[in-house]
Amino acid sequence: MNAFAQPVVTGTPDLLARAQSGEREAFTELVQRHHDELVRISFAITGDLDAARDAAQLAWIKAWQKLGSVREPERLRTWLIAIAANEARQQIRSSKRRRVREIAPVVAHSSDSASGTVDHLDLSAALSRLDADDRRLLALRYLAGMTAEEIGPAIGLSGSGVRTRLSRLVAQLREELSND
Amino acid sequence: MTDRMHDAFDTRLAAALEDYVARAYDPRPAAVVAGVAMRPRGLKVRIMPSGRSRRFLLLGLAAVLVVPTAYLGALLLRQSDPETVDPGTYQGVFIRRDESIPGIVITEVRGDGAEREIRRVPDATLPAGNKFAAWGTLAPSGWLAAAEQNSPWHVVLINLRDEAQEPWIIDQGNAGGIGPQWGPTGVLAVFGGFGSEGQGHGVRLVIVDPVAHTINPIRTQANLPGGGPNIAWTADGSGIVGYVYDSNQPNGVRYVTMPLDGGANIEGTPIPANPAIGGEWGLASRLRVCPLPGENADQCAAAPPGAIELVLADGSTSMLYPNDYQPDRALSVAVSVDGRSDWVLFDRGSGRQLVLRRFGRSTGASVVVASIDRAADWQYIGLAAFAPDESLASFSIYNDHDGVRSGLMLPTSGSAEPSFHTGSFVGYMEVGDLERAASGEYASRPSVSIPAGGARYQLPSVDELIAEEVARNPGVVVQAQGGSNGVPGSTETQVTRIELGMPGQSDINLYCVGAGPVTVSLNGNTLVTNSCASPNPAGPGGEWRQFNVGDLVEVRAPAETAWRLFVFCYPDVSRPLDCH
Repeated sequence: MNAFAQPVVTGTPDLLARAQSGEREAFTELVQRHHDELVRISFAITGDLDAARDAAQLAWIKAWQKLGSVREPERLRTWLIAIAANEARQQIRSSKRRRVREIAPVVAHSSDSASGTVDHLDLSAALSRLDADDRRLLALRYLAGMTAEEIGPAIGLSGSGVRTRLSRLVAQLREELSND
Repeated sequence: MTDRMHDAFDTRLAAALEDYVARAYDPRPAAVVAGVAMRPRGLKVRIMPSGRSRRFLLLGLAAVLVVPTAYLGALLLRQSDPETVDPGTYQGVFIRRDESIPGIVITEVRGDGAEREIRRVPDATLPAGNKFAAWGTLAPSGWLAAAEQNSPWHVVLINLRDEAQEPWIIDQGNAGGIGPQWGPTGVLAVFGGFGSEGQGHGVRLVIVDPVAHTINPIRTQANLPGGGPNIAWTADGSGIVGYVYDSNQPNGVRYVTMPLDGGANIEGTPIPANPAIGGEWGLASRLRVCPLPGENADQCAAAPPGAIELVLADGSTSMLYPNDYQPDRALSVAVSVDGRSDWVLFDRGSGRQLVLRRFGRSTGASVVVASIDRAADWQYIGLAAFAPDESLASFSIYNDHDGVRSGLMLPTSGSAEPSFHTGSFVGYMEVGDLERAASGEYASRPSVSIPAGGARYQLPSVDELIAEEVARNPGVVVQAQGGSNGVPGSTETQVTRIELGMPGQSDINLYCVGAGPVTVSLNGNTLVTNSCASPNPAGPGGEWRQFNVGDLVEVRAPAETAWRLFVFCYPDVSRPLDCH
């Protein structure tokens, strides 16, 4: 999936309305549609698979409790992502958690990662040097494809504040990765 | 900069991020994730008085990981996630033998794994050439109850706060079978033996007060409960939990408090100081991990295998946490000190790693606190105890075959990796007390190399296991044997057929490590199922079966699982068994 293209999900208004009314099947369908993305975005922020899954799960708990506050169905996805991103950031900040060592290669779940004509950056080391806030910003912009105006409320900044911060972050990464 | 302008670097950055997160996924079905989210929040439980107590998740020496129980103290509604506590107030204490002395060395262990010696106590302290055993139990007061390794297994009290004080040998009672227990007031109860009438007619206990320097042998008027049986103090330290036979009770027994003066039993349901034990007798609420198929334990009434069940003291049950973390398998559970969260220890990778999760009682969600890679010679490992403020967790490691004890210390805040230490964990002391007890520098102890990614426990060969059985029971005859070391990564099912060449009324020992279950059938009928969650052998529940020449024993196992099996009987004419 192109990180800059937002997927169009059919039937979302109806599904959302049913979930907001407490229909469990509808909520489960929402989870089915969005959970993978929440886990991936959380992983970009935490770098830890268990933490990412925990963050995504916590996000769904909050989503179930506050689903009624979503007025516009087209904002559901970014709303969910923002919750998960904040939970993921909280995972890192609150517990200084130890990275769980994986004991077996995790089977790649998604086969639609970009590849082929674009030469790849080795991002792992650069990500590990970023703090939780910067990782969250990167994930919201480059994975979730959110605009600065969408990101701002999620992280407590204005749209222009997001752009400024993002600009500095990208410049930093550009320099780091070009030196690799 | 606008959102819509992006250059080649932006494109590469996005692609790299996609690659980075490609391997992140959750194997749980959406229905499970949604179910957790939709679970009702805010569990209310009646307030029960709680005494200060440690949460022990103890391993029996040769038992399956004991499912610890929990006492529901004051529970509060809580919406936020469980918090962890920064380390620094407590440190662990270990005891190990050092044959160069010869004797025992008592060391303190910091959360970061550094060790410092507190005391050396030579075997020469003991009479008649005895030796110190490499285990003990430590009171918060700093008194360590160590013991002789051989008969008469006397308890030896060592004051870790006062090096000038000589070890005190308690020459009454013994620690050879039933372990001594510290009470909430710093008094020690030592088992003194059963009466001449045998079990069921009261016991002899020795009550030792190290501060007053008194020894008081008593004869109780009730019995010690539990399969050990167990010495369990009441929460207020006024006595020991006991039982008497009472045909008016549903289970035929009535629990009482046995006072420390050996007087008449105090009627009324006792409140145990250690809910991990008392809960099993219905004296407190408890949590339990619901057994998997093939595990020798009662199935849960209200929850499926692998889930966490809440059992109230009145016997009512409910599911607290479902089995949501597969393929991770829950092994043991304990309630936190404040009662607002629960610690659950999981197996990951079918024996390669342990993962400690902390669940929020009101949210039902959890966070991973630590992962611990196993080593191939760690036969049993489980939670031993938390520090009183839960800043540290200790894990006990034991191997049946070489009798080696060791342990891990883990700061629950994640500030350091778990550290490995030889010897037995005996308890925690406050840092201030340890400053008075020890001097000198901390030293990082070379730790055993724990293989990255974890290693499953390596089962002994079937011949070695048979040799151990023969050593325990001379004369045993093996009628059939088999085994497999497993094929790493295989997803096949392996079926092994063994034809018996000799008859007899027999038993089966089935050991397995890896993904379970392994089943054994006799002529097509399932006889034994082992979930492989523990390296403990499974058998057909103690029933002796008639095996005849030509009978077919079939073992069905995941091909990646290591297993050992032998069928055996006893040609003892005094037993109604036939084996030749």
